[in-house]
Amino acid sequence: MARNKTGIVELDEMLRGGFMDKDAVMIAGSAGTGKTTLGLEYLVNGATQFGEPGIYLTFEQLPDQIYRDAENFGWDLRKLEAEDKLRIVCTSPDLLLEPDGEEQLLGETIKELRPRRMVIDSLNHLEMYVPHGDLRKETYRILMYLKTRGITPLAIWEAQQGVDSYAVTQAGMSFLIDCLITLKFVEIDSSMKKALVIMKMRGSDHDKRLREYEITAHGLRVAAPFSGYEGIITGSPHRSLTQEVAGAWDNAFTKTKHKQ
Amino acid sequence: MISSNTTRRIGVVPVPIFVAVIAILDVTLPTSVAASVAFNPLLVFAVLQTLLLFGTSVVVAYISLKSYLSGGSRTILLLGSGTLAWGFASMVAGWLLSPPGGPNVGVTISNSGALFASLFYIASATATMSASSSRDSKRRKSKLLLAYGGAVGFLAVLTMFALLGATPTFFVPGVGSTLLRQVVVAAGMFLFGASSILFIRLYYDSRSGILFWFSIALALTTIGFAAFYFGRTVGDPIAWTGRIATYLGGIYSLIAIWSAVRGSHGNLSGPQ
Repeated sequence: MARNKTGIVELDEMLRGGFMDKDAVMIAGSAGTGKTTLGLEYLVNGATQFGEPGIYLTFEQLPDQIYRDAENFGWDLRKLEAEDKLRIVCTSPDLLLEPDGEEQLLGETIKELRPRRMVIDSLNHLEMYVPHGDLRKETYRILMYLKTRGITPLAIWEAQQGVDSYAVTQAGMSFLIDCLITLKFVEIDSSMKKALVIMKMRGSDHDKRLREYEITAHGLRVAAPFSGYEGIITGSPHRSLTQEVAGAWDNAFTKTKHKQ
Repeated sequence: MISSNTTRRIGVVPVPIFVAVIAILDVTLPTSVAASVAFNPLLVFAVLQTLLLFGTSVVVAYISLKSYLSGGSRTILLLGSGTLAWGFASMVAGWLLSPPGGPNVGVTISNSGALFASLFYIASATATMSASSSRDSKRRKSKLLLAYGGAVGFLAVLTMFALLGATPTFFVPGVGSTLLRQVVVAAGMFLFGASSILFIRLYYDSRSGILFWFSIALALTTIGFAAFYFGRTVGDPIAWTGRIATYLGGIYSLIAIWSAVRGSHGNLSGPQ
């Protein structure tokens, strides 16, 4: 089965090799969790490591901002564009939502570039331009347009941080998505950490564990699972009983020496 | 509700009682009588060793394992390794007191294993004096595997050599302990006792129930060693007094774990 590697080694391991080819992928998370960084890294790695050109469709930022932010991670997007490995398309959602808008906006670029992957940043912007209830229909239309052209679409969704931040279903779109990755802030031991989990991956096994990740100078790096903690998803993580006992055991034998 | 201080005072009581019983028996029990009343139900002994020493040691070693992996304290790593070594040696010795082993094999493994474990305990107790923890969390698993695996591996090799008759003699049936056994037991007794004193000293700083119960567990094990030293033959009343003391030590180490459970929930009642 063809896989679409992200190029982030640990994430590809979690995905058992990468996204399934032409699957609709959604990255959901609150502001600042690194959704855009993950989307850009997916495109840059596709272009530089796997020979798969990509399109970054944004309703949010101007190209100069994107180039600047990418440079901070060592990604030269201008160079990739010059080499026909990447296109940054900055537009307004209403243009895409016009009848045949996707063909008018992307058709020519797709013919030229023959992209294999595309990031839509973000679906929330479409929500502002369509009547309530039509977002699913419009999203379906766009995703199918891309899939039928051999493109693996990765859509970004900004979810509210909180108990129901995983409820992407609140927009009723989960059935349109083949693979759902959620990014989330969690407070553990009085410090803010970031957690990543693959909530769903249609037709494939995947790592079900919550993994810590960091945004480094080179992009997103996935670390070890949050072992010994419970309740991370609900936003109130606490250590399991065994970990609590182990902590008390450690304190008894090691805290004492600090007093001396 | 009984206060934790009262519980601890009660918890100490067995220590002088066992010491007094062993002292009285040592003075009053003639060797011929000791041999005639020796009681060696091998299966019962093996089961007791397995449940009360190996079983309890596995619990302590497991909590120490989890604790070391998250905190990286070398004190905990050494303590867990020592406890595992002690429990493993006790269990193997229990089952090998009967064929294909025998009294010498069982005694060799039990006493050598206990001395080996006491080295970990004294290292653990002295490590509490210095800030010694592994900050490199990635290497903790390999260190843990090395320590726990090394402890069990060493005892497995020792067992093999003892069964093959390749170890020095510790016990001659009908004659008694060899000088080597007396030296090994005395060294183990000294190290267990010293570890117990070092941990109880820490207890006076922190008043931690965990340290209290664990220190007394080590003290009871030390008394068990003393019984090995003073016992006339395998299974005599002095030996059983020592065995009961070590079994109680195993139970006390579980109470130390229970204190950790209570402590982790901020509940200061019970055997804190």
